Amino acid sequence: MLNRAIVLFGVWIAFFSLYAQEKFTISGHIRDAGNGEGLIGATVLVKEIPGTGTTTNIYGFYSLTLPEGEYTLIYSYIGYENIENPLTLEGNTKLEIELKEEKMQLNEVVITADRPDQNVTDIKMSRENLKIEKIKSMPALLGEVDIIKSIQLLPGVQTAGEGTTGMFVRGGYYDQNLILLDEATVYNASHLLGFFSVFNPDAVKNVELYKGGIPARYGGRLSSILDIQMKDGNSKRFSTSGGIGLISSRLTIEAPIKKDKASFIVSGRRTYGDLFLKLSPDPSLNNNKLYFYDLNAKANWKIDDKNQIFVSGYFGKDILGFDRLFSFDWGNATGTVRWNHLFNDRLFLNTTLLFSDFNYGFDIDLGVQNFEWKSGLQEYAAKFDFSYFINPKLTAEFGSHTIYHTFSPATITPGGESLFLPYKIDDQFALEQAFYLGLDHHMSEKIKLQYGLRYSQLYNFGKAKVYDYEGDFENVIDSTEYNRGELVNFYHGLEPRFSAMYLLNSKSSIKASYNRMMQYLQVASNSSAGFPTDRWISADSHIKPLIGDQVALGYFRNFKENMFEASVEIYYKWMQNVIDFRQGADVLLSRNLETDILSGDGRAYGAEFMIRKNLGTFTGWVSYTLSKTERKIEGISANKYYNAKYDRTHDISVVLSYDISDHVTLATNWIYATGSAVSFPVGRAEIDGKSIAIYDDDNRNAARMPAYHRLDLSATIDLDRKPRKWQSSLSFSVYNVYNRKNAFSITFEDVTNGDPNFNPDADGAEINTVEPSAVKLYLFSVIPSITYNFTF
Amino acid sequence: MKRLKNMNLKNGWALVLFSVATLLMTGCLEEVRPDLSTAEPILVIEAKAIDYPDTDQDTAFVLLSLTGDYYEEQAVPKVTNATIQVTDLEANVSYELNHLEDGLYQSVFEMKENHTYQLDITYNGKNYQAADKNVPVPAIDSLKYEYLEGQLFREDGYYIYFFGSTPKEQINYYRWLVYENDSLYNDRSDILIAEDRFVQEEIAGLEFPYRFEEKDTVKIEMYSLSEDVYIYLTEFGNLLFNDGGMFSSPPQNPPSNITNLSDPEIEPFGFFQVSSVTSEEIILNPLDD
Repeated sequence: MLNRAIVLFGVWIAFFSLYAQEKFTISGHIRDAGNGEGLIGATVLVKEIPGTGTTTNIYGFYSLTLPEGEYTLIYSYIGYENIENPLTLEGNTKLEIELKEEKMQLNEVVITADRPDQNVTDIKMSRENLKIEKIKSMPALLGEVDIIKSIQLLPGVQTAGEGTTGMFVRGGYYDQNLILLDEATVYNASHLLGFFSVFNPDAVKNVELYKGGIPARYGGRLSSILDIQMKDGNSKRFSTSGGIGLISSRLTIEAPIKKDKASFIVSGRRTYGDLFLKLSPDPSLNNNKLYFYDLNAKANWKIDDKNQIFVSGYFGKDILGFDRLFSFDWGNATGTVRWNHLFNDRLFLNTTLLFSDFNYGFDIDLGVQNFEWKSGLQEYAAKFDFSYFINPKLTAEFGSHTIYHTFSPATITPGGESLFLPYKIDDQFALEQAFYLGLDHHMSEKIKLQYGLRYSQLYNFGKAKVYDYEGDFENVIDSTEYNRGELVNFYHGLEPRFSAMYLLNSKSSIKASYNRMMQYLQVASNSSAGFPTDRWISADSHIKPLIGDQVALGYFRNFKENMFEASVEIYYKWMQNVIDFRQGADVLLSRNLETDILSGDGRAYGAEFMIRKNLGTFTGWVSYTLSKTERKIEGISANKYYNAKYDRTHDISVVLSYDISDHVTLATNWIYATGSAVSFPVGRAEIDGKSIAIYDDDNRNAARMPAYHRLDLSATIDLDRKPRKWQSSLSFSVYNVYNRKNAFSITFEDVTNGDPNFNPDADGAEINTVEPSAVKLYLFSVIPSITYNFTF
Repeated sequence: MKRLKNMNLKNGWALVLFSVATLLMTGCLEEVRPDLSTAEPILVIEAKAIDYPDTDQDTAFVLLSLTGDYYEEQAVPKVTNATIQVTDLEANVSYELNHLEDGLYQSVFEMKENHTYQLDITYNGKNYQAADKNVPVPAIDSLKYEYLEGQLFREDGYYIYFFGSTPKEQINYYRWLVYENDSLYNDRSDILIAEDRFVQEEIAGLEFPYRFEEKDTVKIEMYSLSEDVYIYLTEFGNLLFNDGGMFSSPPQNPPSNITNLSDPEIEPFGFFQVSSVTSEEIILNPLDD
């Protein structure tokens, strides 16, 4: 296989270069001088050898190996002052660097050709990095800064609908995104039914989205990786920050445990709508519960030059209840322990042990209709990730990821005088194992390559009962029982990854990538918006793993001394074994889910245009995506390709912010998207005394919802003009400024008296007309909000 | 909260989610009129053969119509020139249905429990066929009523409780029709159907989701259904509440148990239901108790 040959070739080069010359290594961390946080993706350049340099990893660590000699190293990071460090390299050198944040507004003259221009020269493509400060300055629904909603404004990312946090990346379904919080998988990233995402922006340091060109160290999902790192905690001084908003408040405390050696951060957030409900004298209101909270905590300890330990955890829960009639709660919990170890100046190992849990439950107590329903899943993982900085032209990443999954799809326990029987779907057990090797290869100043291979495996273990079917899952003809721990089924696959960059000139480059991804877990769902009750299932004897292949080609160009970054990317993606369900499938309670599953192929292609300005008083981006996403599934839409529900032909985002003065920032978003693809009726029938819409089942999703567009504005005003410890600001935000009534759904139903809100039980209600109609539900009109933020 | 009426285990969670969504939404409803295409008219068949207790005057009736334009306010066109017969496949006897009026066809004959009946319709030179089994229906032990104070999603008033049992040898499917003073509840939220897969044999105190007043006469009819018809009615009810695929599954026509023998590609709409029925009446007269 060609890809294997490439990898072997890379290893050979690595081996050769080790012994070729007398070389020394400069290594260390690059950190923020203000709070000691490691800076991710900061660059180190060698002034004397243009095109030579490296960037820090997610722990802020870098390593650069050069021949003996005199050098000037330039350390830089956007929004921070550069440091130029002359040095005589005569032996291996440790250089711990701290960069200062640029306090003044950026003077455009500061931007010189020296500043590394990653847009053009880096091999990264199909990748988006959002600084948390940028996310915080964007207008937000109800003032709740939301990482996932900000990401939805990037090209190639679609939403399920207004206000929802499900992401559809380059035609992938929302369960095809691997969301990592400090390496731990977050299975359901939404609060309040998806209106808010679970990431507390105060606790987050860095957000990186991979839509394509995915390096070998990531795997497990078809369409994207959303890699989120939590802050480490201020290792310089005690600091507190927080905010009070309309629906939630936040508080973060961070402090050194031992200055520059150990620190911690604890960050919490809670909504308080329910506290107002308690004030109501009406017992049918004040007994209701509806809130969510998040708690992020992290500590780190630099044991010595070679060892550092991070312990982090996330715990979040949504709780709602109506009197004692029913209650519903769901939540994620993750825990991660990481150990950074340097074997030597060039070999870095991060070992991660982690646990992730998602569960939901509800309790219904309506007389004899009384039961409790519980569902959950857990993952236990060990990851070993090595980085080997072979020489300035070659870096190797390799490692092993082992994840053990348990799924408890549903356990129903009747309570009291319930008429229900106890019911349980058997737990499911699976182990994912992956080995990977990836090489970052700077062939020359003009050509960079990144290539690698991931080998992934899935083991299904007992206890399990596997059925054999006759025909198309029609009748069970036999079954096999497996004991606990016994191997039931095995899948494996090779996932080649390849990216290349060719620098055309100092201002422009061409990049190309190919990646194959395998996905062994997915959500069984027949709706398009994600739910807390989504049932995650593993590939097994009957359900095949998803396979995705993507090619992308891009042209990257900068203008005006790198002030403006522009890019065009085209992509094509093939997806195999995507699933849908037979009509009326009992997705949540079926013990033989395979009998309801239909599978087929998906394809997505498109072009993404982006122009971005990161520097100066006026920053932001404008992006346009032209795309198509289709599926072809045996048994649906006459076995033809049909539009995926979230297929949006045109998608435009304008995200701008302007610093009017040192103390006032204005920001705006404008979003336009073609309406989602839906099935509309092709007629009407009268059955059972009711009028019912009829559909053309051979042409699913052939109609379109009305186009979606919206303008948001915000202003952030610093209240403390003098540089003091206590800093506070007010953010005003207006969502949907011109009050577009964007359709969340359109339903086809009978409307009485021409009024969709007609209530037949109301006093004096008189029915004059009942007509078949279309009713639009729109969620948000103009929504102003105000948030107070502070830090000291 | 009309959806409360559809309460059962399977959509209990949907109800919870729906409630939250409702609470969260500051949004509203507005009538719109998107352009729709109209398919060629297709035959719509609503066919029932009902086995009444203690009588040999059981009835098969069929309502035939055509699909029309979605926004058309007039009633859909009726089909009056079809030939229809129902055959008892066990007894091998056929009964011709006569057209009464306005697309309604009927025949009265004696039905037998556990017999399978076949429906044959000829219309416009095309033959349509379906079969369904007459599953016995267990008796209703009793109905009771109780006055309840109001709470969230429930007004104060009288509520009816069902007492009975459901045989556990196989999975049973039921439909209830509720009449208040001879007037049938027949809105889209009144499709009261259930399967007994998740419940115990004894059903003691199942509440009907309707509020009644003193002096009301309440009649409950309970029909046995086959699995096919239960699935049809489930999907029929779901489609009437479909939100276009956001929280619901994508809208699809309910799966008819009737096939078009002449042209299998063009499936008719509707269903053929063979049921046994039992009923119970109660008068809400608390002063006499």
